[in-house]
Amino acid sequence: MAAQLSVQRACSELGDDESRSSARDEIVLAVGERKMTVLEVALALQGPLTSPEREARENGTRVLGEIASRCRGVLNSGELHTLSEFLAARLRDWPCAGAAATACRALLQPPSPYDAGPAPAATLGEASAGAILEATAEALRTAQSLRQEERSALLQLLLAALGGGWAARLAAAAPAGGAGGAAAPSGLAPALLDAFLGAVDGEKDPRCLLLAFESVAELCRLFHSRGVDPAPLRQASEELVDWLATYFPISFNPPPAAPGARNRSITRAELAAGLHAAMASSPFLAGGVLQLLAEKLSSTYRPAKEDSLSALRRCCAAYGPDALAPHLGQPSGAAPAQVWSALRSELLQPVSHNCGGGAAGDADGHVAGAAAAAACLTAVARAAGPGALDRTALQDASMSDLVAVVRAARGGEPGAGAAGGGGGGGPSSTVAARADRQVLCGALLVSAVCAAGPGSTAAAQTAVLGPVQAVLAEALAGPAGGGGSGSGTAVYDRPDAVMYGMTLLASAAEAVAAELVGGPPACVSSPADGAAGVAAMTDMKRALTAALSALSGPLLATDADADVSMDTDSAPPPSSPLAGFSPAAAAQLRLAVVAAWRALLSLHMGYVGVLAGMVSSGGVPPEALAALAALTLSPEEVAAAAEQLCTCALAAAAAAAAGGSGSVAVPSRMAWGRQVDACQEAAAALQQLLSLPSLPAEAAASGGRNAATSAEAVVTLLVRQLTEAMSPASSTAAEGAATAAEALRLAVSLAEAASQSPGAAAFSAAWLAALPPLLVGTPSRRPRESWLRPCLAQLASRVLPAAARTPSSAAAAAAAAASLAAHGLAAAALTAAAEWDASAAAASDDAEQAMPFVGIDASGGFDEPPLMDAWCAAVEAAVSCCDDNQQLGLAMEAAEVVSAAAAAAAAANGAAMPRAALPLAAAVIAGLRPAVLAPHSTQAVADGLLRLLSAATSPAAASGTATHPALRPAAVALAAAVNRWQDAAALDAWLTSAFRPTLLAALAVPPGRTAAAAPAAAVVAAVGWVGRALALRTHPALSEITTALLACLTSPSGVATSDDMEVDAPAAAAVPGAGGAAGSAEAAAAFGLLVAEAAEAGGVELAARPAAAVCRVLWQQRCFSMCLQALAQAASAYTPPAYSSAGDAGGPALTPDPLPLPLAAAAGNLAAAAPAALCRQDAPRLVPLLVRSARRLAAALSKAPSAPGEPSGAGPSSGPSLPPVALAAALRGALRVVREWLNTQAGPQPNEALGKALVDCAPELVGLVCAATAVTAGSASSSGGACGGAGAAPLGAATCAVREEALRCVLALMDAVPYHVLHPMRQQVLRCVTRTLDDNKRGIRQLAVKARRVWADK
Amino acid sequence: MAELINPNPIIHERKAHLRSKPVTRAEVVGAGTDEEREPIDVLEIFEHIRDINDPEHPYTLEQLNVVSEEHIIVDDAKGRVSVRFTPTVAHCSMATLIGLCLRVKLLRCLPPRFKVDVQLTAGSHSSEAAVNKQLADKERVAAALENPNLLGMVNKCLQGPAGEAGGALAMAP
Repeated sequence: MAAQLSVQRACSELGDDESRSSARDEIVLAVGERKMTVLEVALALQGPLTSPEREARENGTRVLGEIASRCRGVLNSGELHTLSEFLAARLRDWPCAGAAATACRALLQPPSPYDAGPAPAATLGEASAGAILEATAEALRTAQSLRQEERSALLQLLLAALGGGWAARLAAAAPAGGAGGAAAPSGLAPALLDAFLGAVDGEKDPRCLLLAFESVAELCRLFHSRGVDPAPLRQASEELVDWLATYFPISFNPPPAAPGARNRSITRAELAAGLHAAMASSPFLAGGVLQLLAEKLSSTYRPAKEDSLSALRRCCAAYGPDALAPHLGQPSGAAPAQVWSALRSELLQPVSHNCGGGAAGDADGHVAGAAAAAACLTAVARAAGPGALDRTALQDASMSDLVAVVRAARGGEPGAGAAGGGGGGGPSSTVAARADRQVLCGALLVSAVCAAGPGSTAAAQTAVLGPVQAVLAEALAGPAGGGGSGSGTAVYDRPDAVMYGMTLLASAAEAVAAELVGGPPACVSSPADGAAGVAAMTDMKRALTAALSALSGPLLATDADADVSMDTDSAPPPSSPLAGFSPAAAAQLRLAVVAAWRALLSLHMGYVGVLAGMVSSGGVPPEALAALAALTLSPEEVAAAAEQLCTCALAAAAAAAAGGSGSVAVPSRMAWGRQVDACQEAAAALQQLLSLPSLPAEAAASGGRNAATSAEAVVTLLVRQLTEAMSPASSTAAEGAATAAEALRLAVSLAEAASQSPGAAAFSAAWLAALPPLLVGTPSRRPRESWLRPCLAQLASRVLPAAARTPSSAAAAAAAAASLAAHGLAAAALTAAAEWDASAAAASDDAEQAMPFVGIDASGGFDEPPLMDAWCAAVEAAVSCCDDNQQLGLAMEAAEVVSAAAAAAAAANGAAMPRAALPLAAAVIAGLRPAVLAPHSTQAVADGLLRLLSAATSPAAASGTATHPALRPAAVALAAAVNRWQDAAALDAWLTSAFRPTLLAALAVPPGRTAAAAPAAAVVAAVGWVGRALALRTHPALSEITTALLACLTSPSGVATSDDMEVDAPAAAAVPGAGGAAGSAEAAAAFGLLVAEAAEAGGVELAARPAAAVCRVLWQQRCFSMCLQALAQAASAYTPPAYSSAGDAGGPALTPDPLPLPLAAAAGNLAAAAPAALCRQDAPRLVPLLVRSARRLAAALSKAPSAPGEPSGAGPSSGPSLPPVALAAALRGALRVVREWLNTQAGPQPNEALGKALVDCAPELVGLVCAATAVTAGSASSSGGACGGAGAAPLGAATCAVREEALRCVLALMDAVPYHVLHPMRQQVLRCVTRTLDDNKRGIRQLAVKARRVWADK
Repeated sequence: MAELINPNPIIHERKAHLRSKPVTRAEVVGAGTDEEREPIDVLEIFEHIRDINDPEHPYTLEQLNVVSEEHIIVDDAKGRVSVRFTPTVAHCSMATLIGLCLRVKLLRCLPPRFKVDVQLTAGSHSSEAAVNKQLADKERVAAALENPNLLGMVNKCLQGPAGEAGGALAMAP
């Protein structure tokens, strides 16, 4: 009874959707628990199911269908049969067709194991399925009159029947050719095909079309399955092709996606792919489809052409040679002629159109179209088999024209061939350009044919490549032609012929190599063709290597005596390395040489892969292995490749420098005029060369080769060539510098891949080992600074880190060699530095003497760090690569240097402190791994450094010692030693007994001292660095250091007093240094240092990485929290200012903010250095402090007084004034954090606490950004008063960055903070933004325009 | 709009060589390391007005060649900008609206010290003098911007490049 009620509710039209849905759920539950059967449900539905009202019948069928679908797993075979009979009958009732089709599809599909009940689910009987399929065929015949949903449901039912194998089983079960009529199973497949064609005729809905295309493929599969007569499909193929042709090419504009739509919209690409798959589904369709595609290929409508090429590739591959033979196998037939002529016109299109100039020149897409046609030709020729389309292509007149063009170029008349038509009066640029295009199109065609298979390659060799090779050999060897020189200089005569020939051969080789990757070895699959193909490839490779070998002489020539000019370009300068060629011809030949080597290397890799596969599969005769092995490069050829590629790269750089052009890239004639950089191409080829796989031993033995490809010899050769180019004596002036720079670039790019291939690792180690003499030089031959500086930078940032990552397991020898080379580098640097220091002490300030550790070329640009910093960074990176023993040796050496320096400093002899050795020693100490030094050694190092710092900054020290540049790296080294101290107790003792009285106490002076008695900046910096080291260890002594630093910030003169600090200051007295400002600036910077992820000084780094330092968990969080609390507490001691109107803190202040500037800068530095997540977490505490600090900084930097009567810049009691650059940097950091907060609030996941804090501070925030937009270099320097001359440039950049950040904040404010909060300040913001519309910097003006629009449009 | 004034305008390519890259830090900080002024030049003015939408077509004024760099004169020191624009047809009734859009856009983007002069290219319109007089009359411009409908049209034109028109669900067998 309850079930009856549920059924009534499910079919009721009175209730809402929810109640009907719940009723259906109840019925499904009841059927699933077998409380009622599905037949009882059908009986209960009797009323609706038999109703004369079509809506009621449809509704009833839908309910029954849904229940049957959802309960499919528990239905027994009897129920399935009854349901299928019933639903099949309903399929014929058109109002119910859609619902019945959905239910039938569920019955046909195998039950899901998750839906099944305790017993295994019953399967549908064949009789039941046959009834459904017969009904489906009938329903499909009337489908055109149904709605889209119903048509779609019927097509899905058809797909389920075909895909599930029902149709194939039923059709195969019937006797072939049975005369059972349409209803009999024997006629099922033809009936379905016939019904399908009737149903989809004129279909326009993309959803149904996708299903229909899929159905075509399934129907074709049905007719090609075993036991099914394919004749009906053959008969209907014409009709099927006609139907498909109406949609080709697909023209479909997808509608814009509706907002909130869950279903992804169909794209044109999906429809096109479906249509192409349908076309390719049966070989019976070949005739019609090929005819159609050939027609469409000649269309002027580009999508038609592109789709035809794509479909042709897919269809031909699917049809196979047997199906294609009647259509493409006869060269005289209509279809092949049409297909070939269409492909030909597309391939040769660029010849008649000028497509030069690279991508911009190919606006019409002719080159891309030609490449697509070439790919299509390969696919079609391969599918048709050898001797079909490939023969047609090779017999084409364009091929003979191609050979004629190459031959004509050899005779000195480019483009004078049969197709050229001009050239009677000598070469002209137009004729030459046409010849270039002919060769490029010909290369595309020939390579497409070669890629089709070994047989096609052999045919191409006979028809085209053989004659081209002959011409190439003639051009390289001499006589014939119109040149007047002897054979020795023959190559200088005809660069065009050489270039054309090499391009043709290289493109063919590249195409064959591309086909080898991942494909089966063709010579094995088709032995007869394979042998001919291998022979052809052998000839091709031989010709290419011979050409390259002949070119090596001219490429390496330093001063050829040939005086023949090649083309229209002027003669080269006699000193050019490629004197025989004109510069333009030499550049083109270099590109051709590089391309040829790349092709040969690709071919080598491809054949090595094939050989490896053959050897592993076994059973291949040794002759075949030997023949293939001959196609790989011999060790001598690999060495020649390395040499030529390297020469090409260096010569290209030298030529670019000689030509006065900064760029090495030239428009390549053999790349459609695209800009190609020979150096980059050569570097890529060399990388490929260094990672060449070695030949399998069996294949090497068959071919008489060494298994190893002499990687060692190649590496040695490369290193020798590159180091020679880097040597300062290699040549002079611009060319030498350019060559050295290019050699460096090449070496770095090769060495950078050390962790990826053993060859690159070996090169990296060898190059590092060869570097020290170049870096250090000799007194008479110092390295160029323009080379030395980037070399050191690249070593530190790319080469040495890559060498350190070399996996020792994979390349043990290379890793050991790399560590040895790195050790050699560091040791050589230390030795050279000591010698340099000694000679510098003896000699006067000679400029030459300055190199290699102090730059002489540098003009002191603010953005260029001192050369010594680069040395330190490189040495630190080198030390990181060393093994433990090597590190220990270096550490001992460094410790001695430190001790000597400390002694010199203690002797009040500032000049004796080493300028080079000391920073390098510090870098060595900082580069050690954490566990290398034993505790007592660590203590010795730390004591030495402490003594040095203490002595250098003591009052008794000589003048200038306290500001010695080596003290900063020494502070980092001290921090590194403290951080890695393994004995915690010893560290505590050292901190108490040594560090506190020596350095920490120096920060404290008795009350009453003046700014002149402030601690030296170096001392404050050293304390800050030690603080960082302790912070990484989460050491409790950190709080003591932060207190001392804080005292430095808040003391009026920048001097911490004994009262401020909780340390004893027995005999320690403040030392004269740079005064209070520098010390305060260091203290402010130290707060950033404490929490930063990575920090460096003087090129020496102490990064928070486990490999470089001892890092405890959550160190950053703890340190940040402690510093923030200390700063907030200190700031709370200063009362915030009053503002002009109550509640409007965004307006100008009536009284200056007494917050000390160093304290404000420290807050900015802390927030900027901390990770963004930490700043967000602590936002409630940080927001007020940061906004206030930033506002204080902005007020100090802006010229205009914040209020009448307020002095600009620092307030009366604001402590020492900091350098404006430091203030601007702190302000910029603070604004960046603020912007990050605002972006977070404007993003998808705002933070509630942060949002509240920002809203609370909104007026102050607006005031801050408004003040920051007014910060300029002029205002900052006038307020700071300490910046001028050389410091103006960095200050200008810093203030620009401040204004930029401020405007970005203005932009973000509107999205992050509710408008009603901002509205009162709107006019104020608009005034500030309008002012920045006239900013000096264009980028800032653009930001201002955006900001004005955002705020004005609101 | 019942009937378009110019139903088939010629569409020009957007010029790629212009300084149209987005604002980056390198541009702001790296271009000049000190506070030397990068003057407001023709390209900058053109960038302000190139993306204004045409009132009747879904194209920008640059695509329709209504505005071009050649017809802009700037003097940053004296604070003068002169822009000439060319309607696509000589009887274009939208000329005044286009001129108004240009004027409003420049007023919003340039510092207040600039005097903006917007005029038709000589000989490009049948009512050239009248339109020029209307555009030069500050009071009439101000009054026009008081009109909410007109201001709405101007703002719509200043919104930037129009989005891609959605294609219809159509299959063309």
